[in-house]
Amino acid sequence: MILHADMDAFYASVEQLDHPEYRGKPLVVGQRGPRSVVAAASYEARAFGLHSAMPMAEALRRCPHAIVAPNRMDRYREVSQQVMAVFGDYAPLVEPLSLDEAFLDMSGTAALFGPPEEMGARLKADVRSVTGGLTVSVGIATSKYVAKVASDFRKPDGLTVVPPGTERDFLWPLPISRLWGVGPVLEQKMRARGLLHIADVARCTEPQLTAWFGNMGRQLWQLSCGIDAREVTPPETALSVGREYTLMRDVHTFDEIWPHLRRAADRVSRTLRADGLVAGGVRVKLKTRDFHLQTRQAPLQPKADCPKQMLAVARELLTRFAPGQHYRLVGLTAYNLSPRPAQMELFANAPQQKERRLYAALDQVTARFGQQSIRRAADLEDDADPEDGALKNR
Amino acid sequence: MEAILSKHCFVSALSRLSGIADRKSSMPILSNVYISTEGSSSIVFAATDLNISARGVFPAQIVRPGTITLPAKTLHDIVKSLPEGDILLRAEGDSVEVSSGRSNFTLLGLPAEDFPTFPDTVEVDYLEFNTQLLGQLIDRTSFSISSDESRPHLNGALFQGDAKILRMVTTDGHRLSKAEFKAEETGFYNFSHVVSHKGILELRRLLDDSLSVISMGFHAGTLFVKRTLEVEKPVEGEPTPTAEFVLASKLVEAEFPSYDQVIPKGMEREVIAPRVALLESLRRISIVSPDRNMAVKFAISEGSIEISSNNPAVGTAVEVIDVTYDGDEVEIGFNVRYFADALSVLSDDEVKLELSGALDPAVINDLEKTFVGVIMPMRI
Repeated sequence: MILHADMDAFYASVEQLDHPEYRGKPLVVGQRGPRSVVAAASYEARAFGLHSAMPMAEALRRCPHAIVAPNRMDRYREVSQQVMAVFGDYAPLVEPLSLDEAFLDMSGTAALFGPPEEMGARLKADVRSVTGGLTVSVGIATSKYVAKVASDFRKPDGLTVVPPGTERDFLWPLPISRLWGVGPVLEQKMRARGLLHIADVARCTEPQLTAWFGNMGRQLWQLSCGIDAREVTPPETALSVGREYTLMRDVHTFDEIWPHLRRAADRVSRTLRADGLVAGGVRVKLKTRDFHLQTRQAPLQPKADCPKQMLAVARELLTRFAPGQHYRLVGLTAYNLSPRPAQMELFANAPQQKERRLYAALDQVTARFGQQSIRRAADLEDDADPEDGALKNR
Repeated sequence: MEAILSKHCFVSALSRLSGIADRKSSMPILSNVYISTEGSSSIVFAATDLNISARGVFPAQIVRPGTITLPAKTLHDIVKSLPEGDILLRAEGDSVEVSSGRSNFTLLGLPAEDFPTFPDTVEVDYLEFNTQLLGQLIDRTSFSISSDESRPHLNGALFQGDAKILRMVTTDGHRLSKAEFKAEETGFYNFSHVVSHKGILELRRLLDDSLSVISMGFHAGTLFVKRTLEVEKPVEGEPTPTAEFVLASKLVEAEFPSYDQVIPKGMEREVIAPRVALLESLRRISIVSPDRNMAVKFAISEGSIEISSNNPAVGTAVEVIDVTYDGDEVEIGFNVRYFADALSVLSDDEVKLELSGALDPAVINDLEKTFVGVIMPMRI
């Protein structure tokens, strides 16, 4: 099964999230100016016929009282990373299409997350919890194409599952504009042939469609029957490397949380070094006793593959969680990964250079004598090292 | 404006200036060369990209005074292609006629009033520098100036003179080059500035064998270089016509990194290698090295270095060079270009390589120690 997740009016929703005074009001993201266009429109603005890519001047003519929020791409990227991290918790294969949209290959995950409806609902709840209130529309089906149509079916905040074998029932009543590759020009041509709904296309033969519409004909016929063999293909390098521990006993204080984070950082950085990667950011993940997932993240500058700097950032991130909560899960993830440059820097700072050397030596020791042969003294106390929670999102 | 000047003189002026004019600027006038008559027998040419300006006073026969600016590259191309002899330059408003013999060009100029004024040179204290030694300082270091303009502190050369030493240092963050001469050879100075990459290159263009000393001064955040150019081929028994030429290059304000800290001392291994043999070997081996990171491996053992490169897409190459070395074995990877650049600016038969471990910097010295090159290795 393939899940398509699409954030609802993403940029606009982030603005309404960050600015409570914008909520419930028509809002467009972009700049005022004669040549600028709308980057995103809130659902309240869409009621006035506003949509993305519309010239800003026209948008403001149609809805003069719309709030115009400047584009804050860094913030959207930050929220996107949080959301993609949630997706990564649900599927080993995640293919991001843009900041606000991704395909997840859900094959074999039913045992972990239950039937599709339940899984979709849990994913939606996690996205809402991690972001502090953003909604995502989810479509689940047997192919990328049907999943994408399904996620759009009941937007916003929708969840549509198309069970295997019911693809035609779902697709056929829909207008032909829902077929991939059908733009206004092709739509006109198809209408001229009397094709109005996807069912009309499916009733044609493939040679007939090819004769009418050239190479597109084959694709139209396949899609109309719900045939789409493309697989979920994650990007080449891992998006993130993470470790998380579901704990026997809930933790509460910094001193209780810290050893788990430190162990996670050790493991994560070891994986990074083994794979020749460096991380540009660190994310701390905590799940409350009542299953609310919370994450905080910050960039690593310069990029790192050793734990010291990651932990310095993680320590700061811990102060950004609401105090007084009890957590059942502690995790640390390195994201924004890139291959470690082979060329060494002349002006790398001395402590960092020293740490690199230390870990190069430690890696040699563990390669030869095993992971347990050398450890932090502080980790010796609690020997119970739960071997769970290795996360590597492709 | 109307002036007559020889082709040789005209070309000499434009070849010095057309490279400074900025064709990529959003201000169209910066791609032009400024032309202004001065008295009855001189014409001023100037160009600027706002960071570097140059100005020369060339001999000419002035018929009617005036000023104009013209596209530097087009004018240079035209003048170069004209036959030997006198060239007439005549401006009516913004329309400028360039003619020689039966060739006639009419170019559209821009008014000279909009051209940036040349930095004031009245208060500059000029010092004299030995052109040959200065040229060597530049040649031995300018190749490792960073080309990354987003890192202004590396995008220039540190130029220092004191009671002991005249020195130039450059680095791109992966390698560093330091060249210096004793003050007894060069003269005594007292300055320390960072000269921009383009400034260094333009300065180098002004140093030629016809000149034994050149005047330079630092004033108001700018390096000024002044020299006399011969603008005609010398004729026996006649004074050669000359031009007074001044280059003004804005100094880099960003602080140069503390380079001394990254020049390692007390290295564990010392290798004496034949310079040319090593350089030629590196060039051969680099033919197969992956073009993106240009990594070659040095396997150093008693009496020899085995240099090798492995490019999965092309093949492998190995070569052994005899050297003087009696330490234990070490393997270390380098960007072949960094090594070849440093070797090719030296002139001695032998060079000294100092190394420690595979992740430690390597140092290349000439035997008189007027050059120090530090190269960070690549992980292999």
